[in-house]
Amino acid sequence: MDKYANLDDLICQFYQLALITPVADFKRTAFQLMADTLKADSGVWLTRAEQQIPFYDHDALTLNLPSGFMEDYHQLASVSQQVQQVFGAMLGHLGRTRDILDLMPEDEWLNSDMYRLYCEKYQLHHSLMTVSVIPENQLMHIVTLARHNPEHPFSEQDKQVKEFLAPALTGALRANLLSGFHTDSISHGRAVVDHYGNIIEADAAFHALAKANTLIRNGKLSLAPPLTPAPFELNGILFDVHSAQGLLYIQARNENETAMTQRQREVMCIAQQGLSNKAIASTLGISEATVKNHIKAILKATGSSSRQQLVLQAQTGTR
Amino acid sequence: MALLQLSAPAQSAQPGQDIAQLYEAVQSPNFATCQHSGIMQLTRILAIDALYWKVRDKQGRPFASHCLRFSDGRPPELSEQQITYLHALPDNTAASPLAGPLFCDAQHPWSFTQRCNRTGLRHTLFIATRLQATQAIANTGNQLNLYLPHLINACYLNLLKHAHHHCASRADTYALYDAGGHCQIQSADFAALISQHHVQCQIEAMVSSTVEHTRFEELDNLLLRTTSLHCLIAVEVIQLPDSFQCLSPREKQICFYLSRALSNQEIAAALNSARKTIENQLTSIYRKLGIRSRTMLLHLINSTR
Repeated sequence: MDKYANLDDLICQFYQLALITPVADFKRTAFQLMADTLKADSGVWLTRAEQQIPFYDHDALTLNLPSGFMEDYHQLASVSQQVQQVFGAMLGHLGRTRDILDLMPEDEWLNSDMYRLYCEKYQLHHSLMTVSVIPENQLMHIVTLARHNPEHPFSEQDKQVKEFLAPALTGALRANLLSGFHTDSISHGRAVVDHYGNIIEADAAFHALAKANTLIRNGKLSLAPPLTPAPFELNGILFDVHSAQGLLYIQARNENETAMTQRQREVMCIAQQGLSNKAIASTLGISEATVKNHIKAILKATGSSSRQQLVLQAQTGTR
Repeated sequence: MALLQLSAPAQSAQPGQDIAQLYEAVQSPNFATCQHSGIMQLTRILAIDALYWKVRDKQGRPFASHCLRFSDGRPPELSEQQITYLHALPDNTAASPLAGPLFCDAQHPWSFTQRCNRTGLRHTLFIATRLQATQAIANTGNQLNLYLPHLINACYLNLLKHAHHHCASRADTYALYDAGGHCQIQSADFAALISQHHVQCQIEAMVSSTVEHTRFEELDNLLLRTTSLHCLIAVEVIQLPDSFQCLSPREKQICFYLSRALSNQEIAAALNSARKTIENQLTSIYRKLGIRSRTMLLHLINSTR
């Protein structure tokens, strides 16, 4: 029992990581922690909102697996079919952790295409699967850990520990997505969506924007799937897209900031160096009154209340 | 490939899922709602009829609001006498049954005390259940021992979250240390500045000696401020240009608050002096540095980054 003495601390650590790690890094860091705890050699963590669509690379976070792993899965028809069958069987055991040998007899497993053409090739001799669905956002998690050494199967205790830890792992991912929304002060609308346009999490500003511009239909962005990690426009609103670990983080662009003129940017740049209006005017060869007008427009566009804020913003903006 | 059809999944308890539910409380907007939301989750798992939760800080004083709740919706009915009695009870580090009626007619009281190593807060929960079956009562102790540490961890993470947001909304160079002097969070800028100046050890020494009051310390041309924040210790740092060496310690502290975009009035409140004094000191700063405006001063402070 000694090797699993600090599970409480580990769970606390998952959630602490969720609060302080950027969304792009959290999943890998937490998954690695879990794999280390269970002495697993490799793993796959799939996160997705729909069940009936085949798995894509961008759904999957893989740990220590060779790059051909996902391609093989797509190319070998009999293998992907069997993976879907195993997955279907796991749906009857939501939240539970199962070994493949819990689902079928050993001799049948060792003669199956999935084992001979796939698992054996990638040394996935022993694996533990956990399939769970988070009730709050209907996001499905398929967390699988594998050991490459045929001599070291997972024990019954390993299985129980994984089942105990898995909800904290997926719960912390949700906390991580949520906390990503609060760290920046001003939001013009942010949401996490999957590649099919399902809204996983969103902040209040996004919901307001979506309501005003009918961005969402049947819980999905009104866009043709699959979404790619490239900026897109929806009903006149521009979104920046950032992809991380199977999910897309979309953010509405601040219209005011993009609306700033070239001259206003120049003035802002100089003002942020601490120069007075008079000094800016002589640098640019324009009148002081014009500079004043520019500053007024810049303050409005950036949403700052004073010149000093503008100087401070420059420090955070340039990094 | 024929898959064995296992019997329908047994609806046995999955403690991992219940623990994950307890951590939902971390998202709460403040400590009191975090306690409340944690208890709501706990009552889903356990048959709790009454609960009294006291939280004391390192000095043994009450922290935030003591949380008191009756799950069947009755108003809190504890008399002064009962509360005094509860407070006089010895601490039990594992959930243990108490003798005698604790709350009105609720039966089978338990108490559990745990000190959170990271915040130094000592949590004691008194829980009463009206269970009849002996087996279920015995089981309660195991469940309390399993879930309560996570409830307390969730409270710690809630404090950490708020302290983090507080720091991050004001500056880029900050770190949060726990009551044991271990770094819990540090911003990338803080880490870079500290490793560049090799002052990690001095900061740890400072943090472990900080009690409650805000303190300034100068190391090289770094100005550090340590302050107690939600039972954690926040360290903020700014780097001053070499030309600022001519300033007095007090004047440097004003520069620190200026870099946080505080007004003269706010600086006066932070440094516990009059606004007029701050204005005079600012004039002295301008004279010593040969500059004429607040904006220019801000630019100088920020130019070292």
